[in-house]
Amino acid sequence: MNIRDDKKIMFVMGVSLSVIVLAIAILAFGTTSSAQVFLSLGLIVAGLLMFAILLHTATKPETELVADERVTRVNEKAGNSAFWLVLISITILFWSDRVWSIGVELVDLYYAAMVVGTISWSVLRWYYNKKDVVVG
Amino acid sequence: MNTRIKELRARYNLTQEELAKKVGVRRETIVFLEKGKYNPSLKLAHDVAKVLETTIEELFIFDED
Repeated sequence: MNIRDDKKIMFVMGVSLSVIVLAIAILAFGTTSSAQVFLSLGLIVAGLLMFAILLHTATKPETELVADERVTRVNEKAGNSAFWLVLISITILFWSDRVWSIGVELVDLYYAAMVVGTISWSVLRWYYNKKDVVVG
Repeated sequence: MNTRIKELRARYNLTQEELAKKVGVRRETIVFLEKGKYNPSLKLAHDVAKVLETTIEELFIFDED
C-alpha cells in the first residue's frame, strides 16, 4: 500500500498534529474548568478524525480524489432520486396519518426526511458509482 | 457506444492513471469510458481526443440503432 507524501498531505498532517498538541497543552497547562476540558477533548477528537481521514486519503492516488464530471453527475442523479424518495415517504406518512390517525407528529416527518434522505442518497450514490450504469 | 480509447492509449503507451491525470478525471471514469458505459461531455470527449491526437469521431463509435 503506497502512502502519498506530497505537500498537501504533509500540510494537513501538520495541522492535525498541531491541533492535537495544542489540545494536550491546554489540558496540561490550562485551568481545570469544564469548558476548557471540553474544548481540549473536542480538539483531540477533531485532530484524530482529521488524521484518520488524511491517512485514508493518502492511500488513494490523486486522480481518485478528483470530483470530475462523472462524479458530479452521479451525485446529482443520486440526489434527484433521494429527493423523490423523501417526498414519497413523507407523503405516505402524512396521508397514512390523515386516513388511519396513526399519531404521526411533525417531528416524525423531520426524522423520516433525514433518515430516508441520508441513507438513500448514500446508497444510490454508491450504486450509481460502482455499477455499470450509463450516466448521461 | 464503443470507443477506441484503449487501443489508442496503448499506442501512446499511456496507463489509465496517466490518461486520467492528463484530462483531469478519475481513473474510474477512464475505465467506464473504455467500456462504453459512460457518455462523456463534449469537453471531456474533446480533451481525451486531444491527448490521444485524434478526433472525437474516430474515438467514439456510435451504433446506428
